[in-house]
Amino acid sequence: MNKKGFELSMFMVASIFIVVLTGSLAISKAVTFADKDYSFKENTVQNIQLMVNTLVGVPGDVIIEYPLNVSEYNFILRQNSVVMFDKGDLESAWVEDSFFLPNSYFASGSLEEKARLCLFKENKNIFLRECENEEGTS
Amino acid sequence: MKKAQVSSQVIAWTIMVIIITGLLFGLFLVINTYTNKQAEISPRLQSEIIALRFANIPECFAFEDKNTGRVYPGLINLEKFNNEQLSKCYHTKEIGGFWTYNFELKLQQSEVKINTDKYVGSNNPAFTLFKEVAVKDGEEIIKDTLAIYVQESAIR
Repeated sequence: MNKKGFELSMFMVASIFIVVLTGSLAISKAVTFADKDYSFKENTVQNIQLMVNTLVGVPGDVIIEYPLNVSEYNFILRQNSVVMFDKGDLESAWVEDSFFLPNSYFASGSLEEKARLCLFKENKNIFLRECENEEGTS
Repeated sequence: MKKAQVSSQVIAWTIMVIIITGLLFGLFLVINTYTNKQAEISPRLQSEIIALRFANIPECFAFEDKNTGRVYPGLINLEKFNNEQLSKCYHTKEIGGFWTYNFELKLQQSEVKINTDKYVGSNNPAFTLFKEVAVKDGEEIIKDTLAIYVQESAIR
């Protein structure tokens, strides 16, 4: 192959590489979106983040039940965030949303594939766990 | 194959590659924007919910009777209305800094103004929320309006 031919084919290889890379990104995003769970998880963690912020903003002890069945998912409530994931998901695939708690407030708890998720506020502690029989219902 | 034929094929391929890359990139952007929109919650609602705490809990500015321990939601203790107390109530270091909600709070009658750690400048909020509150200044209680100036960045 002459020098010009070599340069041209390198250019072609680089071009094809860029197309494949961009295409893979687009397709992986499309596949992620096509996964119905993704939007549901995004919405759910945002809703829980809003519920935590609401609990912080009201005085007194409170129990709230999340109004959807979440029996296919796992949750962890941390001091500054809530995460939602499927069993076996890599940590990089967990969906997370964050919040800030005032000094002396604590958040903790987890839920593993249970239908009813409740958030409890007792004094300055916020817990996430499974609702018991009549909890969270009105 | 002739030299002229080869070079015209290369030019055609190059143009095709550029067009396909552009289309795929455009598709990627459209899908990304659509996905983000699907999960979007109004910034005004989110900041309203965060702002609930300012006048309602003693870890922020609500007045707490030291003798009885009773908290008076909606009654702001002017003694506590400062940046130090605000950083105990809400600050953004752990949750995104400039990339999340930042607030400037102003008591309009009392003319006291404070802001969160990453609030940039002044007079450039994305939007403003207003809350009717009472302010306890020593023994005096006055009616006031708490203006909450909100800055929100491209967090979603």
